[in-house]
Amino acid sequence: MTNLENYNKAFMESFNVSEEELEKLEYQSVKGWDSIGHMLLISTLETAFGIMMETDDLIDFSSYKKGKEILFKYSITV
Amino acid sequence: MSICKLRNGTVIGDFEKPYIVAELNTSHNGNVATAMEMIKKAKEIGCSCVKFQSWTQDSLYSKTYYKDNPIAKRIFDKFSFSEKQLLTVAQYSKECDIDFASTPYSKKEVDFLMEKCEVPYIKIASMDLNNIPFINYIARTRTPIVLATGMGSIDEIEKAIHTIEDSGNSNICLLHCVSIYPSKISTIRLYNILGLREEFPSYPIGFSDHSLGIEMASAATALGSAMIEKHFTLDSKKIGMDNQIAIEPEAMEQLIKNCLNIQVALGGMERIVSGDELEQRKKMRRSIVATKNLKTGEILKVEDMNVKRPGIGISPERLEDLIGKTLINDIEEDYLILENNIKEK
Repeated sequence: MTNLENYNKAFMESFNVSEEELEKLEYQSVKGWDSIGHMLLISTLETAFGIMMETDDLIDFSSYKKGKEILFKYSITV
Repeated sequence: MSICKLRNGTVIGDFEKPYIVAELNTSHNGNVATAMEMIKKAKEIGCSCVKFQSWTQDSLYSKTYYKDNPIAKRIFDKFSFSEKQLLTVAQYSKECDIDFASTPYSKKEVDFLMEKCEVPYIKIASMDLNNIPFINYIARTRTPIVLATGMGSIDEIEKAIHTIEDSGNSNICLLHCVSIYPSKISTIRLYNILGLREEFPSYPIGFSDHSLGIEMASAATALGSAMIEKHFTLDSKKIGMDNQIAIEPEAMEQLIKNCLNIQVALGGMERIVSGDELEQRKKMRRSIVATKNLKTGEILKVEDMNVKRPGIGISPERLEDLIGKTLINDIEEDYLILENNIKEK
């Protein structure tokens, strides 16, 4: 699996959304992405990429697009 | 009337001016500067009090929970305030002339809030409604208590109140509350405010509002809520714990305006016609007028009279009395028939 495939899978499985919806996905834009869903997403991503994000990054991780920028800080190019 | 007197002398009571609490929760994301900005804003828009959460990652959740939710531990650690940080925001609140409160989750946090932060009351969270030992500890401090009742049965509420009363403390405000974030409108059951008042008439009843929007607080005020608690944030789009149900300053300002206006407008049950309204009668009510030109000496018949504005002449309710009376002046059609146009017996 590529990084992008892993990244997309985390969102699709956490929030039960399709690949077509990902580009516009933001915190609270779908029912599942609330504060609890957010922790599930972060947990899935950290496991998938073998990283532990800084807490400030957990809080800034507010959209599908923003997440890519944050992962780049951990040398993960999506 | 049931009242609760806070430690700083503020008195809250049913149908009185509602005490508005901005629940900051952790919408400051653990940032003192953000918290201070929120306090300043809350004061500017008219909140009575800012309320924080005193929990730490150790006082709220067990290791059992964190084992399954490791991310939560990191977020809670980031979002919680240390004693030093709480003291800073408490002092800043004092500088801003707004009450400061915080919900404690341990005895140590109770003591700290009472002794160092000099809070006006101690809030007991809904989650602790059945935590009788903790309630007893707080009650024995004799501090005013705001008791949230979310998730609680009437028996549990009664037990908590009896625990407080048994310690000799009767300075209590109860909050109707639904502990779902956000609460669906159909589950809010605002009549519970009346139900709690009937069940516990010695204590003022408030409302902790977890619904989206601001209208439930207005309705609660119309039911006489002594206290309105509402989650407050500077940016509801930011990731945070229950931050998505919090309202931003503009909405909070409108909420306060609505609640205060409603409380004033409720007035009282006694029927009072104001001086302004009495004056308005002259413009808006009707008087008796002539339906045709009437001559001196004519005896008034029912068909000679109609009623029209303004209300400065003879009242319509006296129309029948005028039948058979004699005119002592000519009256032109559609002009008022006045007392001095009529011959006295």
